[in-house]
Amino acid sequence: MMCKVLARIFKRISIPRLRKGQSFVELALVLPVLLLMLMGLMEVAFFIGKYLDVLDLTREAARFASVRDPFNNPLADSNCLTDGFDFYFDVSCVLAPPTCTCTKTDPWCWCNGLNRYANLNMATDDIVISIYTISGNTVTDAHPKSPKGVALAGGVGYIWAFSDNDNDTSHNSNWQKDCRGNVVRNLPHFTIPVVNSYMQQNAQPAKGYVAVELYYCHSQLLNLPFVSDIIPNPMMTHAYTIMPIPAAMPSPTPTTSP
Amino acid sequence: MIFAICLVALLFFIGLALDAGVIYVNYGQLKRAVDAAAVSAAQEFKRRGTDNYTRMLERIRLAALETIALQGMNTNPTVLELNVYVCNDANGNRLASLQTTVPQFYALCPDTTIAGQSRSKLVWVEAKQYTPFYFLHLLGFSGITLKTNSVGEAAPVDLVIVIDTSESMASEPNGAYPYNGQDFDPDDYTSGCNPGTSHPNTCQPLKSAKDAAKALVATMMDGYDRVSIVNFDTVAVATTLSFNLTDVNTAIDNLRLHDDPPAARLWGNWFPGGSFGRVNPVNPEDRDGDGRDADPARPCTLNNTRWDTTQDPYGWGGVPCDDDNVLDAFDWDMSGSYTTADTTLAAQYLANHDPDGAGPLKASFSLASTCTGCGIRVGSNVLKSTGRPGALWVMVFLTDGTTNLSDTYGPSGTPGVGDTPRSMSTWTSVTGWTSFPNGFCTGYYGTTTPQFWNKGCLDQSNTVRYCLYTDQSMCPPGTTRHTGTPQYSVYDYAMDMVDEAALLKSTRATERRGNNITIYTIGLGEAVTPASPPATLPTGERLMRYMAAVGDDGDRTTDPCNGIAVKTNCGNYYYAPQGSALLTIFEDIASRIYTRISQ
Repeated sequence: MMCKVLARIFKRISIPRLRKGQSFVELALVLPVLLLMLMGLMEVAFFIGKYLDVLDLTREAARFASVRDPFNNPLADSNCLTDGFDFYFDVSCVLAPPTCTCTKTDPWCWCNGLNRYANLNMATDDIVISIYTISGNTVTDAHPKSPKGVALAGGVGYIWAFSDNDNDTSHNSNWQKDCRGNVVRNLPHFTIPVVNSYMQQNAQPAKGYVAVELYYCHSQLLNLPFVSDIIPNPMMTHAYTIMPIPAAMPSPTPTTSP
Repeated sequence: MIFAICLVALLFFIGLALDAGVIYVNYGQLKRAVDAAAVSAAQEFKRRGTDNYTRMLERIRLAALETIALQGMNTNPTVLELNVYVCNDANGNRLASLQTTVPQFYALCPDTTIAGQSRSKLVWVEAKQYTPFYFLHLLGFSGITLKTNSVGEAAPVDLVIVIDTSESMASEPNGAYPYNGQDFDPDDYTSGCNPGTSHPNTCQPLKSAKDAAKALVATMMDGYDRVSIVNFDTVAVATTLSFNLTDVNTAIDNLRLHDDPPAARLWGNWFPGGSFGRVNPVNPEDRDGDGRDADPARPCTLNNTRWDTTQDPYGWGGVPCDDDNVLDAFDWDMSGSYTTADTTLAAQYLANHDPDGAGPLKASFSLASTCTGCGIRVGSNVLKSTGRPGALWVMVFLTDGTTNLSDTYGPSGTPGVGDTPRSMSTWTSVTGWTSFPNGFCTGYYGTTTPQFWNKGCLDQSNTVRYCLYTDQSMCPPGTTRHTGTPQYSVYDYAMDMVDEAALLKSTRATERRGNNITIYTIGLGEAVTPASPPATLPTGERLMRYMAAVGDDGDRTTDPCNGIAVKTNCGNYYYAPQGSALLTIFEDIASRIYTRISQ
């Protein structure tokens, strides 16, 4: 059928019959390449779409964090559904899927968030939250310290990592690893020196910033041959947003009495 | 040949798609950066130190720029053009130029020439970023300028500063001021407590509290934020929420300490050695607890020492006895026996101590003078009745004592001279209020329990919190409904006032909720945390901590002070050992009244 149609077309455009065979050979040669390019384009488009999703999610999470108080969270609450406020866990809840099967009585519950698009994998993905207190346009303190958070290597800050606080205790510090579990980094994007490097000298010298980083393993949708040999599948996608947080502004009063 | 043409066309579209992808990614990143910048810029919309309007605008712009840079964006002016706009000029007028430069933003800015519209802390951040093409560059198109904007708005602040002006605010622990707590008149004290022509207004710790309050007011923005000053002792009095911070500072300067009636001049047998129980602390003239000076139910034999030795039911050697027709609970002239001068001086005291100077509030002979519940109620009422719905409602509460008084309802009918004056008429959400003519300072001496007056009005049995609602389901969880005998105390009252002000969450769905008021509390000096007696007195620091626990997030169950040692700052509670610590604390509170981003 297809051949008949092509034959009619070729007749109309007056292509000599002898050249038809050559065209089919060309088609056979080029079609796989064209298809590969088209599918590669689709794969790239999906990846860009997913990247924009996770970028927006970090923005929402940072926005949520920016108007809350990280130092007023006495509860170790690992449940996105309950009223108990745990700053770090609740911020990460923004990146959770909207619905879930867990109930308020479950001790660990991960849902109630905005994320309809990128299902986080507890075994490979991670959310990293860090807070910086800036005085005199220099980071003078970072949070969260132990027991909420952990210190970074080299004393360049503290972080709260979702993978250290989820119910999958066999996969911790995912942010240090690639999607296959190999340790590839020992620092997140934001550290004290990195934040310091962006400080404007004439800006307000006292302020606080909260950074939300998302390490997300993106699985290729089409999983094309050759492509996955060149580009790892799944591939680590890293998005982040840093926003001001007034609650982390330097405080002249320590927690003990003056 | 045809496939070659198709291939070129396909490559063209792939190149186009990749360039479109780059544009999408760059736009996403730019939008994120500008959103963060708008938050950052709005937060700088506040007064800092001596910064003027121009400097504030510079701060706002630099904050936006810095935040954009932190997102990893190239802020080189050749790549990124940043424009930041606010609604008003230095004089507070809406900028007409916005109408042409950013008309969308101009439409958002309130027109302050219209009555009822006040200035908004709106910031418009607009960024343009040059994004180079990769594929289209081959065709001669070098790039495109992406443009996005975002609005940030910092909520204006409606601030109520509540300051304890009971007489003890003239008493600095270990200080040089000779307040003896008994017979002290802040108007007469020549070293200066109350402001006046001959007084320097330097009494401590009141002076430190005033300075600290003014420092807090200085962080508010003239024309955007509003402040009310509430002072409380036996009653609470508020100034209206004012945009004019100069007027607010004047109101702070004019704060006057309350002059308690001189407990040391009560008749000797009424208050021997400062012991409690023999006299009604809310109104010594009222012996039977009905709110009236007249006490027909407690007949006694009157003499010049106002002590009836013909009856001794309690082993005191007699009972207090006063004339129901005169003001004779105090030996004002210290003569040792009653004279008409005592009544005259008592009447002068009442006339000279009108709480607000404008009636209908009346002065009282109350020996207790720390009506914490009054301060909370009046402060929150200021916000509830006149606070702006879109504003951040904040209450800063300073006291140096333990709560020992509630609002008083007074006797039925019009109170006469010597009767307990009414100081409250709005809190009628509970039944049974009229059965508390002396507020919740319960007791009387009689033949039935309790026989004696409550010790200084303090809550002695704080292990149970009582509730006045007739419907138990409206009470806080874990409370017991008041059933008639004197149980509901001044402490219970103060906690209820806290809940009415700021409780937003409760484990009981039917409990009454309050308003979204952020509360910071400051306990000043030893009196808020008395070591003895009694060691477990809860009405000072524990009440302040309860206020802070409810006032930080509207939830009493989340208490940052849980397990924290006394006399320690925690959550929204601060402890100041003395007045000199207040300035630091108020500065800290100013930094923590954080901008609520409303857009």
